[in-house]
Amino acid sequence: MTSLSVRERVAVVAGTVMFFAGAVVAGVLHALDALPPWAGWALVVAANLGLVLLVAATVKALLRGDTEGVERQDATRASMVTVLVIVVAGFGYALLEAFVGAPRVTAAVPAAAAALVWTIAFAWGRLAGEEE
Amino acid sequence: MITNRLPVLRAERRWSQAELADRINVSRQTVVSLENGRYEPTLKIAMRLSAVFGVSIEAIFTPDPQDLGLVRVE
Repeated sequence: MTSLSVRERVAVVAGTVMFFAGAVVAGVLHALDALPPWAGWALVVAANLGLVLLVAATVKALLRGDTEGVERQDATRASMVTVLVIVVAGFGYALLEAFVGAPRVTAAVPAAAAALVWTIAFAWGRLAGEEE
Repeated sequence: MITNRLPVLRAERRWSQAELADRINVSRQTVVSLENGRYEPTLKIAMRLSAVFGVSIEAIFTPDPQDLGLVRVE
C-alpha cells in the first residue's frame, strides 16, 4: 500500500479544492449569466491545473510503490476493455446523433463513462475467490 | 494451466494469505489470485515466493503440459 508524503497530501488536497472550486464557481456564475469570458478562462485554467495536480500527485505516489502483482494484470485488462468500449460506444452514439436526433453530449460524458468502465473492468472478478 | 502448491506450502507454515502477501510485498488480492489460478506470477514474484518458502521455483509451480508441448527442442 502506497502512502502519501506530506507534500503529496498537500498537492492532492490543493488540487481537489482548485478543481471543485473552479468548476463550481464557474458553473454558478454561468447559471446566473454573470460569467464574463475572462473569468471563465481563469476559472477553467485554475480547475484544470487543480485536476492535473491531483492526478499527477496520485500517479506519482502510486508508481513509487512496488507495482508487482495481480493489480498490474487487472489494470492492463481494464485499460484494453475501456478503450474498446468507449471507442465503439463513441462511434455508435455519433451515428445516433447524426441520423436519429439523439442529443449532443458534453465531452465530460465519455470521460466519465471511461472512468466508470475502467473501474468496473478493474474490479471485475477481484471480489470472487476471496478467502482467508 | 500452471498449477502451484502455494496453499500447501502456506498451510505448512501456518501463514495466512495476508501474512504471505506481507512477506513478499504484494497485496493479499495477489496471493488470493495466485492460489485460485486467476493470476500467473511474474518471474520477480516467483523468485520472491521461492525465497520466502526456501524451495526452488519448480517445487512451487508445475508447468502446463499443453504449454510445454509448444516447445521445440532442436
